[in-house]
Amino acid sequence: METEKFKLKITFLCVLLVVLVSVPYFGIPEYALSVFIAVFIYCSLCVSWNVVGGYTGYLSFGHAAFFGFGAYVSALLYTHTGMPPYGAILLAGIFSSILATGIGYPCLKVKGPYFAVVTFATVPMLKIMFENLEFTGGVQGIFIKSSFNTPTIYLMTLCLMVLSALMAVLIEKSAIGIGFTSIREDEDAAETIGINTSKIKTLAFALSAFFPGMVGGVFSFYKLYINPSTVFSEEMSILIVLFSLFGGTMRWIGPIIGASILVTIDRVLHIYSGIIIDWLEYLPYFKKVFPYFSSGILASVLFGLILILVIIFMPKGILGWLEKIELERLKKRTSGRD
Amino acid sequence: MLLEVRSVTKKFGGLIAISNFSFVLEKGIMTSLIGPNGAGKTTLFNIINGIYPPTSGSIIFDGKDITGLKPNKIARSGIGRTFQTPRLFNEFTTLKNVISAAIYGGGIRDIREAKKRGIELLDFVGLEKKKDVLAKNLLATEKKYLELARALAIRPKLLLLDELFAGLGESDTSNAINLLFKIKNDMGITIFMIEHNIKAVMKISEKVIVIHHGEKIAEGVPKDVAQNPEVIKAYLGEEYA
Repeated sequence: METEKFKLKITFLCVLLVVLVSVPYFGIPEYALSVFIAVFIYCSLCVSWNVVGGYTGYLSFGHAAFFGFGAYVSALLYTHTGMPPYGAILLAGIFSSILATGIGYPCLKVKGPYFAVVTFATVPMLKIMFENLEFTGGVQGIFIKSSFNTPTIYLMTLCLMVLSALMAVLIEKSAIGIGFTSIREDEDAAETIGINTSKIKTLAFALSAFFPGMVGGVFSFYKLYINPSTVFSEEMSILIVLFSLFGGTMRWIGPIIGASILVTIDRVLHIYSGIIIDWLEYLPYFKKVFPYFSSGILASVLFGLILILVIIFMPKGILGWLEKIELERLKKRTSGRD
Repeated sequence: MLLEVRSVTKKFGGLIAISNFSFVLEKGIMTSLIGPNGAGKTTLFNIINGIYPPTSGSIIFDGKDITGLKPNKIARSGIGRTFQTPRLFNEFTTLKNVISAAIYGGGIRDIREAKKRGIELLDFVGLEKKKDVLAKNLLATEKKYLELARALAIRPKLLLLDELFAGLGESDTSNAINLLFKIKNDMGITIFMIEHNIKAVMKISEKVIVIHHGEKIAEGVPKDVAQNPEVIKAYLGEEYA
């Protein structure tokens, strides 16, 4: 029974993967592809974030720092040293992990809200640093002369999403995963059974920065122009946390579900924002109260609302909610048998 | 000599929680630490176990100086402990709780091996039927047994038990006492426990250390300690001494 369920799951995932790989060959419009790319980017960011935010329970509000740092590393390596793009992207991941080790070791000494605040500061810190560095182009940023077409970028981001999910699955199945989650459960107790918590936490943080760095690296080749204020975005840091919490942080699939749903909603809102805003403007005084209303604001308002509703009604995200339904169903079945 | 605590003092700001405390634990001698509420029993455990580094003094375990080491190092050098109120990994199954300790503290790298060891230990404490139950759903007494099994999974030489008997009923207490004897005799683990259940203390300990206001006021075999006027004064007040 268990193995049958497992086989079904694997088959489903394989079919889904084949479909996703073949999407660019269906002659789908560029814009639709860019929605997929956004989904893949956020899925890999969230599933990586979950390694530290979900498994060890340390809510990092600074994961956009690794994305931005990776974007700069790959862009600089590519434009200054002439390194091939794939090498530059891989090194972006490695350098991000190294940066995360440096940031994580001191930051992980504090817990809860303090950890959230110190990690939140890493994004503006890096932004200011890159704005003032000469060789990174300062505020102007860097142009990347490269010619990856959108389908290639699509496949690259898809590949990163699959790999980051695979990493999360492997972690969940291994002894390391048990170490990570024991920290979430009770850090002091974890110490008393011989877990070197400061080492394990730093490892989790470094692992969680690897794929965000690589995704940032791909982003440089996608947008062909980066500057500090586009790649170091506090909003992105918050969205990563929001998407993951929405999906549920207990298992790897949660952040993927959360990011897929919410990024799609965000993009669809952008497409139909004109119509929605037209409707809203029929409301009396709407234009006077919100003269600068835009699709971005609409998405922010909606996300804020979702965050509040999730915290109140689904504190364990979609995963937790599904689990609860499943449990109640089982209970009903067993009570019916009596 | 398994553990030697040499004139340990612990201050929290201006408050002296433990003052110039020294004692020795011999291998295989079941020792109890007793004292009124707030005497500093758990603080002393936290110092031995590394949660609080002592302000001064030193701790020698198994011939090595472990003063100021992190709890995880001390655990791996062979000191296991349980807490007054069990601190389990609540979202883990009972088995996974023990596996985590077997892997990290017990040094078993292979998960399947760790699982085998975990089932053995759950069997030992009588929880093998509950191996797939989440720890948070266990009964209070079962939680105590699980924490004991988890502490054993790190293969300790010394086991610190913080009020294992608190909240256990009559039959559970005798069951737990049997377990302790098995741990001592069959596994060769030395037990050092904090205990309020005086009946149990008198029955099983070979040595009792009494702590009051952070100071050692008596030490010896249970019978002598029970008649020590200092101890009676600490527990019952001046007029009974």
